[in-house]
Amino acid sequence: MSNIALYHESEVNILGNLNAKRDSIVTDLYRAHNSWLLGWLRKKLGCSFDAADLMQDTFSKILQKDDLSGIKEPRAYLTTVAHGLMVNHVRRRDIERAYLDALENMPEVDVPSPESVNIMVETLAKIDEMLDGLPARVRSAFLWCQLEGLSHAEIASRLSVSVSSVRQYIAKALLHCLNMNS
Amino acid sequence: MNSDCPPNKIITEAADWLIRRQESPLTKQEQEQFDSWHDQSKDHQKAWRMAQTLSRSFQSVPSGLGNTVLKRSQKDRRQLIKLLSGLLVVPVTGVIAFKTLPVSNWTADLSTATGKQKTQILADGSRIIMNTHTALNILFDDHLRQIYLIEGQIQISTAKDSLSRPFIVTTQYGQVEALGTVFQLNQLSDGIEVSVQQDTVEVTTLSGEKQLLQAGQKAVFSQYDISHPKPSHTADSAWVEGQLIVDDEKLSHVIHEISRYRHGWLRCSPDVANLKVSGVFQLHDTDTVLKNLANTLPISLVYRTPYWVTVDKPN
Repeated sequence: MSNIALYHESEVNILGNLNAKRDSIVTDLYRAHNSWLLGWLRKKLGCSFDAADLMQDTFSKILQKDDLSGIKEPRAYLTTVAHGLMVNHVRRRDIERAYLDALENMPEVDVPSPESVNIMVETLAKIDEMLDGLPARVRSAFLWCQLEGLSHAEIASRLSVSVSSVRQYIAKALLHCLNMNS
Repeated sequence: MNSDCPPNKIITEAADWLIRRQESPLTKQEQEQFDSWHDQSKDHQKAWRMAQTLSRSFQSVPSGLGNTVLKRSQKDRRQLIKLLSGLLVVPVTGVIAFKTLPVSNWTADLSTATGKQKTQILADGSRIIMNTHTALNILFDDHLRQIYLIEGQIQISTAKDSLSRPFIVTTQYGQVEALGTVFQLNQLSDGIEVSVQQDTVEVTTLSGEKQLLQAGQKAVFSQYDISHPKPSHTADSAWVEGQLIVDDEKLSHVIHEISRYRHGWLRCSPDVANLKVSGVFQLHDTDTVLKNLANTLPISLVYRTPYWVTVDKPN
């Protein structure tokens, strides 16, 4: 039942927020594809609640776009927007879970406020996103160096590679992050 | 990327300075070198600010904790990794807009129906043969010739490129770079089989494992690993000629192969799954293949409908 209510609420919210200019485009998009998109998200996520939320977010995001007249392939467009949101959502959810687990295993740490949990999860998610696509070894070397302050020599012996390789790994990861940020 | 972003060379230098400063405090001489580097231009200053901002975001994470969270196991990352590669798995009819690429760069989307094959010559003269039930996208730009294999089986013969751009096939498990080559990729249920007919390819999995494969070799790779190269056989590429060649294979395997070329459901009963089969079969007419099998093996074909066939023990 709650699922149906949520779905209904999304629809009201979205249709209530339209400004005149985009009215017909987004309404048509929503009417024609909302159940398809919900199905697509549900299949990818395996969870109806998250799927309904993300569908809402997808249409909210589209509402903020300046130019909607160029949409030629509505489903490709919707899935592109939804996919970006879905990746963020899953990353944040995983990191939040791992962070709270890690906190629990550190009895000496005071329970942080919800705001500071939020900020830390956001920071960690950003770092995680920056490191996407880097080989496992490069990622490990970089995290040991930046987060734990291990020396290049220590990292080299952990990974059984030369110190100059470690330096290369770190330079590569750093450059990757800087390029992602720019 | 912003248009006012510092050039890549300066960003690389900023990264290098950051590493040097993290390694050990700068000597007086190094500090002078750094200062004169930094004061060269607005771009240098901006690149350094970017490097510092990045460094600060790492310093804000408590040591130990951040690493535990970010190094969470591959198992925990599975859904995310799948999603990150998952944009490639959107049905091909939807036109895939890869997040970072303008849609207009997609010069083509190609697919074949079940039981069909198609040969396509690409803009650079390379040739792709697509087997049954295959979908891919093509993205060529000034720097790269790239194919996204969404599903199915392809053979690629690369042509020499006037711009010397690399030729890369990307899949959900990783990528294959052609080093002047004829090679094939086949999407299996849990990986990609690559076999090389000419020259060499380099396989790189999503997790960063690399392996060179020479002509006459094949291997299967998934997200995390690559199998040891094995010799490939001419039979492996018989599909290009519309044939299935098997030598002493289990019937269940042969039926599975044939089912790829048929609509509907083709099933092999466990009672006859281990019968051994050798032969050359023409894939364009799978009904005749089944009939021939039934003529030579102790099996019967149960046609519930033309789309629902079971290969079973004799009645």
